[in-house]
Amino acid sequence: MADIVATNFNLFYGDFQALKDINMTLKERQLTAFIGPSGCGKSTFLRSINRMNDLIENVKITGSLIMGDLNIIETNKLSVLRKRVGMVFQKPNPFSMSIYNNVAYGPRTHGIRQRAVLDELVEKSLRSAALWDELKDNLHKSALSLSGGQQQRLCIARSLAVEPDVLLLDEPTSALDPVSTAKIEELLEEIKTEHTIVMVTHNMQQAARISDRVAFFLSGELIEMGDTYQIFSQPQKEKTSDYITGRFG
Amino acid sequence: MIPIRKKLWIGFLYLLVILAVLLVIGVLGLIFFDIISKGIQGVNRVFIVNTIPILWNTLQLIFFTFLFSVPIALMAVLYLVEYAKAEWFVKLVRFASGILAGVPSIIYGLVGMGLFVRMFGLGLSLYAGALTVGLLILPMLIRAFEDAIRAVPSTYKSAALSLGASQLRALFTVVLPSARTSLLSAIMLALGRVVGETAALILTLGTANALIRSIWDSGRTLSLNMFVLAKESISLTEAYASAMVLLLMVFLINMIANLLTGDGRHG
Repeated sequence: MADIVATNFNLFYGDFQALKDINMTLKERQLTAFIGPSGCGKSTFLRSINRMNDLIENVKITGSLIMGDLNIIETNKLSVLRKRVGMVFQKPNPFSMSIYNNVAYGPRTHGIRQRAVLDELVEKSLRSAALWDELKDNLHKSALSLSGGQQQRLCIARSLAVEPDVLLLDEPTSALDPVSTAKIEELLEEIKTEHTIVMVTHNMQQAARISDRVAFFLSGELIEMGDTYQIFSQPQKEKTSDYITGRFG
Repeated sequence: MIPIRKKLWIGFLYLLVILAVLLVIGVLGLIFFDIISKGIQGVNRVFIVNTIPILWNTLQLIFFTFLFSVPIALMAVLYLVEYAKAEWFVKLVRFASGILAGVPSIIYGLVGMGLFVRMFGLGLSLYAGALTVGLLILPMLIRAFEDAIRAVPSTYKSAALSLGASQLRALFTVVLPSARTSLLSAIMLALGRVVGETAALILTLGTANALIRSIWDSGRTLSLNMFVLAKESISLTEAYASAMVLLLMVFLINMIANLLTGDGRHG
């Protein structure tokens, strides 16, 4: 595991500059929250970390983004990058297959075929997502029959099954009810000791509750970044304190 | 209160709508009744013995037609949706596909005759017939397959990619499986077309009164049998009986297609 370091990172969608000169370090084994108003670039930056922006046409990137010995921008081995850097999306998106096959999808993609190994991985991942006890007798049910909160936890389990170093989450609880949200926050707090977690959130109370560090984005720029406690109690920049106190955004 | 004039007008429109529905049901019912009542009379031992090889010929045609056209349609659509970069190319293919879908089947028959039967030297055969009908349903399959694949939420593919799958792997293990019911019902509808196809097959499959034993043989399908019987006025009753079997087959296929689209939204 290693820190993720962005240096002079810029991103353009065609002529539009979505990210301007981002310099930041995402420390390993910590939960960093990205906050900021809609359209400020936080999701765009998040997606750059696992090269999901490659799916969009006319994207141009300059600068560097490095994780230990892995050059994220330049690497050709996307499969390897995405094994080390997992992602959970805003709306739960389990595959229309059984619960077992959803979780086993990642490992199978990376060549693990033996039933015993897969069984173990599936159990371990579902336990991490606090789903094992609920679902262990129904692993062959369709994943689509689960509730929204369960589906999202399943997606987290699915991402954890490939044993990534980093987990990226793009507003993972914004589509969920408060109880499911609480369960997922609890989950994240437990796994952050083993993984580097980066989470985009619109919910500042959530950021204050579970993150170690916070990065505040505005109009494509990184305005301020620091320890959670410091950002929320003594923000250095005026724009940060304006956002946090709800004066805009 | 609604004025009397308006009430009358609404009532009149309502009546028109009901009449239209009755007309549609009436015509459908009439066709069914005509064919089944006359067809039933022709069903005897001889008919059944004659029809079995014809049914087998029909099944073989279906099999080879889909063997040729489904993989091609699928690959074409995957390319169009996932890999094609040039917007103009995609539009061109879609445009051509739309036009080809409207070309009368006799023209496909003529093309098939010139190209497969004569130029490729396949002769009047199941080979030529299946290739021709395969071409015929290709535009239909391409359009339906494209709709089916585009209907799969892009988040499915994103999720697969984010787990480390390659583009191709994501398509085959996640996107296609989740589109399976739409793809299947598209195939079922094309099947209905194939089963009823006559014009394109007269010139390519031929109308030999024989059981098809290999891809080089000629032989009649249900619809071709009906055509020959009716044209040569051998036995109108038998033609009707064949028509009844054909009708029931198409009916069955459409029912299955409906069942699939109706229930198939969940996993």
